[in-house]
Amino acid sequence: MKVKILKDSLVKGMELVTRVSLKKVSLPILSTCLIETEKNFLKITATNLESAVIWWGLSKIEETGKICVDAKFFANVISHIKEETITLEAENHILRIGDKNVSLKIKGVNPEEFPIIPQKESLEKITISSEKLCDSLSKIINIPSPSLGRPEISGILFSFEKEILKLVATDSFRLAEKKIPLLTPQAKTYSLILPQTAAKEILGIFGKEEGEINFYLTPNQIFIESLARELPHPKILFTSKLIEGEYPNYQEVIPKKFKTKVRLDKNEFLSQVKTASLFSGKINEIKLNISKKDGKVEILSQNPDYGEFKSQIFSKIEGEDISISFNYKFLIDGISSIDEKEFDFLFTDPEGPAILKPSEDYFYVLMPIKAS
Amino acid sequence: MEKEEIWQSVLAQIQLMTSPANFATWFQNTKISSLENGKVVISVPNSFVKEWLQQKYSKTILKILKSLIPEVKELSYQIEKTGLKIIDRKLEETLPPAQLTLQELEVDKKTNLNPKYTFSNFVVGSFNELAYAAAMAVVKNPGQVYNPFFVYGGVGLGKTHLLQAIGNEILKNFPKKKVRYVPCEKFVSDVILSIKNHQIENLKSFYHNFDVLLIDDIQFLSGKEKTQEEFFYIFNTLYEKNKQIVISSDRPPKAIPALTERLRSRFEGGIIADISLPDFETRLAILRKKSEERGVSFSDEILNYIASNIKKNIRELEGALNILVTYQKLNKKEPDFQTAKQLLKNLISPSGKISSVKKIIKTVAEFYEISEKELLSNSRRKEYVKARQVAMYLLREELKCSFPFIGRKFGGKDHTTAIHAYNKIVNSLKKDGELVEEIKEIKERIFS
Repeated sequence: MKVKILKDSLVKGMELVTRVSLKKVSLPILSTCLIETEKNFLKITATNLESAVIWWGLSKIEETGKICVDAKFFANVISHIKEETITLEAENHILRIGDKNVSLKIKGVNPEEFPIIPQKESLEKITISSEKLCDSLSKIINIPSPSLGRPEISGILFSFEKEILKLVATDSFRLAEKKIPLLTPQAKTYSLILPQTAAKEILGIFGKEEGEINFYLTPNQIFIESLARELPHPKILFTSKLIEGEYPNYQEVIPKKFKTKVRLDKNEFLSQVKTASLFSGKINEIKLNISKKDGKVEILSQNPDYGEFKSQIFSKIEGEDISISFNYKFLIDGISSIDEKEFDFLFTDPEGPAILKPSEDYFYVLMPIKAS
Repeated sequence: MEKEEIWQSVLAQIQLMTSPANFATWFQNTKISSLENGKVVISVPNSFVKEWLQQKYSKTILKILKSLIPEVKELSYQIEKTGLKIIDRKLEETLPPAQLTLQELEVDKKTNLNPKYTFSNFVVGSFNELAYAAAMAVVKNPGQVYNPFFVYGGVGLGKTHLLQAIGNEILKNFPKKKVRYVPCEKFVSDVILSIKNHQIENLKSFYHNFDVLLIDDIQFLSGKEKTQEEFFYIFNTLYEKNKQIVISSDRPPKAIPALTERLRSRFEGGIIADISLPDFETRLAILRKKSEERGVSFSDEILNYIASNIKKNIRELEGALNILVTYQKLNKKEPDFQTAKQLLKNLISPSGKISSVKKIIKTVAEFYEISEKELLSNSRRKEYVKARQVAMYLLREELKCSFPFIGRKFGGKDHTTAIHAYNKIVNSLKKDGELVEEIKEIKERIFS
């Protein structure tokens, strides 16, 4: 194999693929990446057998071939090279990196040992904006908790419904749903559960990509691809296994009727809740007293060791007075995930679900703490 | 040779050709899922393994298989549906005990059952022995004995727990059976909705599919004639096919008002078991079991105090325990007896349960549709006499009024009259089921 490629492009490519390669003593091949030629591209693949990343970089192919080298080490080496163009040569499981002044030889592994990445075959394509997906995913990604022992809610639900994609996450104390428009409307509806780790990889890999990304779905595997900007060829392909099982019927969780509705300024409320959180006791409790007559929301917290906090926000209140307590961590998570300047905070009962709703596209349901 | 054995001998040979790491990575959790007409399907855990075996090992596997069974011609791979791994469902202890959860997420979508209700956490005592025994017979042979199984008892005594435990246990014993738990209210609203949408046939065929139907709080059918009719058809179809039906109610079929005769007689056709109030020892046993489940312990003095003061509702027992558990978690120490008493003050003498002489008289008069004046008068008309005796009985029973006081209250009667009235009702209660229900209803009205 002999290939010439722009250094910056290769460095970026290696940044992406090293995300999934891992040090696994039992199978050393998983810490390597597969470097091979494919038409006018250099193709680099890494996998941990749960997910895989493939990157294509336009390059001048002088001789076809392939080789496997340790991914992190290779990435590290090339980042130190000063030249604009890098020449890669592979022969007898040795990778030579040409440079005018230095000459490097990296020991490789037999590429035949490298795992075979599942193929996406010809599947229906669903297109979505990369920024919107990553932005939405980042709101809810930290909600699922892997320690719950319930595999089906340890991941993130992707529900493709005609013109929208719904992303749902829960840890049984709170649940959030975000809607994103699909750029290619679907006749059918699909739903799948993506592992939380894979969702984090998506954020890392596509977070910096602008434009569109394509989804291809199979019953066991998801494929996500972004195209090169200059030419209609894939640039990055990410694939992951899915979590089997059926996501709970989360619609049942969403309260339909409310007793109290409060309109709040996001930043003001967030800053007061954060201050209140400093004073909250062992169970992270923050209490809200909502009084319609006075038109204000009181925020209270106290700690036997530090003292107590009390503040108030005047706002528009509809419905009944209510007094309700929350774990401040869950409340802050919810408020922080709101982009809008203002949002509705709706309550059902001091021991029933409450909901943060800034718009039609997003909501965050959370359960209160039993007041002590 | 069995499928397992064949695959074992294939693996035994492949093991010799690959490195141990490769072997462990690619052949773990693989097996032959079917072997028919020379076609072998190998089940693999994920798509990576599928691709790898397909491309790297197909020839070898096929060769070995052929040497074992000559007629093998084709090899294919299939990603296995492993089903969900059930891991111990213990929530992290770091979360405060007071944090409430989104309950609905626990419920299984297909069966509508909540897995937390099982027989292992169901306490059996003399008060529910019969119901438990019948339930055990039902879970062993669903549809064969005791069909329908009708269980009734007061609020918070474990009817829903029993019903759901039956469902969960049957699923455990017979994973293929289709089980469905439906609260009656949900059934009623489904019927109304499907009538509105002209889809009543869909609803019927939906229910006809189940092998086990568990209906909770059937008394809600009372007065809903159309729903009763639909339920009657579903009941009959299932019953004829020997599908198990389990029904719960807060009162026996006879006492459910406005229930058509044909349904009533069908409910009585299987076995009727009641869950009465748990005795002191059972209440104590429940408290011990529940505190064990939460990994806490309280002194016998405290448990005795709760058990002797909360008598009528197991849910309230749990509530009392919850309060103490929360206290213990927050303060990192066991509450002493005085603290416990203080904490449980609201629960044990709840303000809602306080009634007055006036309220009892008013409620009794309303119940028997006579005026208070008539109730307190000296008239000896039959309908007044019974109501008056019931009122006297309740004053004695609930407010511990003295007999002379009761006598004076009812138009200056002698205390012996009051004693007579009280004894008469006590005796009638032993044989007259209707009167038992009447008094229960009146008490509910007084305390609601």
